[in-house]
Amino acid sequence: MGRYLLKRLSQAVLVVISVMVVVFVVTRLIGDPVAVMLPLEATEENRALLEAQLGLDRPILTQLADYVADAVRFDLGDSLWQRRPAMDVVLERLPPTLLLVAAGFAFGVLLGVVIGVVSGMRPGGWVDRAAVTFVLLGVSLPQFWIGLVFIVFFSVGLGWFPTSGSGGIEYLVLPGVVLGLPVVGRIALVTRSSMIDELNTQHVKDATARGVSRARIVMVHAMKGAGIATITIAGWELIGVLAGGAVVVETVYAWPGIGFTAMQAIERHDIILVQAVVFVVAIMVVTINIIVDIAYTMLDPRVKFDRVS
Amino acid sequence: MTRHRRFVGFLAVVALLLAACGDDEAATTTEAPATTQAPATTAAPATTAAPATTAAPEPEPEPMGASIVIGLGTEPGSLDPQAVDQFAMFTINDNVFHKLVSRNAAGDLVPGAATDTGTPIDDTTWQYTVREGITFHNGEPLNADAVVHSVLRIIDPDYATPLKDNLGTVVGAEKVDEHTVNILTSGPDPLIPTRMTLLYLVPPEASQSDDFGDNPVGSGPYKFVSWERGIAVELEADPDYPGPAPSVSNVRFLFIEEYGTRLAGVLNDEIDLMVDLLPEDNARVDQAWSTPTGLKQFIVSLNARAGSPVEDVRIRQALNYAVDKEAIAESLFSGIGEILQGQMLNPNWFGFNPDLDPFPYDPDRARELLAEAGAEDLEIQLVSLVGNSLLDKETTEVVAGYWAEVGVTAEIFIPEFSEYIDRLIDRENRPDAIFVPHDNILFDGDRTLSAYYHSQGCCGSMDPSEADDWIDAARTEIDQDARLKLYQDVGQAGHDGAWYVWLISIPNVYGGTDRIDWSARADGLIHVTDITVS
Repeated sequence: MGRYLLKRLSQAVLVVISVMVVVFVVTRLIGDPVAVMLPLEATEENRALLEAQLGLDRPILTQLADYVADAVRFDLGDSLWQRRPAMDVVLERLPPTLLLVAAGFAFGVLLGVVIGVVSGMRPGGWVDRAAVTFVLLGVSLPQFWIGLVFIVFFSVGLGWFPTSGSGGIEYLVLPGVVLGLPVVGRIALVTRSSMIDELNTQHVKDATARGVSRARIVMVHAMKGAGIATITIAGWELIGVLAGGAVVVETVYAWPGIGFTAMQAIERHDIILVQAVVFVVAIMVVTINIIVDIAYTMLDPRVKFDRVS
Repeated sequence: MTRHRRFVGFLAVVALLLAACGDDEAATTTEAPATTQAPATTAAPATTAAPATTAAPEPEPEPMGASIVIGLGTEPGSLDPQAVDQFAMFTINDNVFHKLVSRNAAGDLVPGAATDTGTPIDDTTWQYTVREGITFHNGEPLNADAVVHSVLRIIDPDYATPLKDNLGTVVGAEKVDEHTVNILTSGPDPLIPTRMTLLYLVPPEASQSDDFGDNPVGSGPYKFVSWERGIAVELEADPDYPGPAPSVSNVRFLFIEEYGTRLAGVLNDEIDLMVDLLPEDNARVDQAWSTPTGLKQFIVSLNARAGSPVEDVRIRQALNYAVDKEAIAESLFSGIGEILQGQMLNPNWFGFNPDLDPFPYDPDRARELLAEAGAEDLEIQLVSLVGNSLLDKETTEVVAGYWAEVGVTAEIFIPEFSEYIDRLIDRENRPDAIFVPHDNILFDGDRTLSAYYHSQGCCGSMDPSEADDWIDAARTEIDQDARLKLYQDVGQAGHDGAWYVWLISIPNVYGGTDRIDWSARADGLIHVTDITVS
């Protein structure tokens, strides 16, 4: 296991470095940060001056070399927008995102598993059909739109929750639910189909024949098999929530996390801050991947450490 | 047994996954006090929730006055008033800092920290007397030394700031006595009083701190309390500030980029005043305000240079006649846009020419002119941008639509913003037509005309003319009447040459609850002292 971990970790480092190089190149394409920092009519001299002051006039390869050398020390440079270390900005915004992601993910997985199990028990029944319709809505409707609809309905209409911002638990409910809705859907669908498969396997039929109670069959025999599929999809969902959903939901709810920060950084062409956000998210995504792979091997002995690549 | 073990394994992994998140959550609460999380949990319910439930006396001790919440669309990168050129920074800091010269609500220059708007004592010196008795919130005096420090700090080449450009010719400052200071320029500069409206005065000691951008110390009616990054900036009325206490004792500027969310905040009484209300939502909020005149000028620059497909002045006039500006203002902008008066300057900008009129909407005249010029099937490229200003792309499309009606085919090209800028300022290859949203925080023709009406300006598309000389002369003309005449002549020349299609001017629009009484300022800033709470 130790050797396996070592191998995975070195792969992870490679992945993060590759992501960083790609991001470096891509951020050079999102546009010139100086263009958005100055008025439309700024003279070329002023543009050149600011460019030089920000170090953006150096040859691109020099910039890349410096950037990689600094990134190894977790120094990604000063945010152009905030004029302070970009890593500080990201680390400061990380806790709110983790809180939101944890809430949305927990909501998504728990509700998704419950719906999946209940649906899978009687496929084709009215409960199943209603549940599938509901979760498909959650998967298909754009989060951006749902977010705004929830604000209009639950905050402005019913006055149950604040419209946006952060603070107490009441601020977490709407963004958490909106973030978790697509997760509910996908987890439920996967759990449901694995459940149906599991309930049709020989060992479950044997157990039924032995007179094992229905509840025990579902909770112990079938769920165990369905768990592997659910864990896999949950890992992916966590990554999706962290790297994608958070950007949309945080923006809608003015939640001061890294997703919102990424959005702000992109709008302001703050390439340094974009790089820092991607760097941190990449590290988290790689870590989650490793955890999911380990989870596999623990759940399913057929998967061996040395055979996973 | 094996099955049991595997099930336990499954549970363990689920626990592990949740714990991974849970740990981070735990980390949030432990590390938080150092960062932003803790203040958010404690401060937010107290202040943001309060307005929604007010009416009754508030439970927390409020020494005087009310608390309000202002919803801004963007968060400044820094609150150092000399560091960044961001409107959100100006909006907050205009309440915290003094300038030598200010503007009143109508936009006219008035004394700020100085006793008047400045006196030129020779070609390269403007003298100011600082009012006595102003102190920064940390106790440092606002005197000649503070002014000298503020000037030298912003023009220091090592202090990279896009705001330096606003100071133009300023090369230094020197103390004459405790309260008298000379602003030194490289040559005669009639704009110094205007430029001083963009120079916030900072305390010599406190501004040297590395975290001045996080903890600004000013001398204005409100003092900085806290900045929860990503969430809000809080200010409170300075009890020692001279004059009657303002109605609002505490203000939170919330940063909510998403428009719908900000609007919902107002509809839900969580936000008392929001910026950038869309005109179509005027009726949904309790109150809507707009600045008395437009702040953003929408124009289409036409390439009047020899060799361009629109070099014939008749074609450019036709492109003006072809566009129904009133319809754009009424329909597209729900009545908030004002028609530009055949020039880029607004009536309250220095240099406005009252004798110029907009080109009326006259498609027949446009067709005639095009026919005379032999340009019935004209095809041109129209460069534009999207997401920079309210309905910018839509306006461009409408203009192209009007042109199409008189037989001019405009191919709209919307590049990425940096490339748009490259096209706008490319002096060699001017676009046939380029849509421009222009604003000018100096409210003086100098910047606008130098950039757009001068053949050597960044964005001018005309051959050299005597207008160039007038603009150059005005730049050093201290006599304001003579300067005004020069700018009005330039405006006339531009109108005669139909260098632009002058469309409309868009004001800043705000929405709010009926809890506050306020009116919008000409410069678009929000002075919290102007707000009274009922």
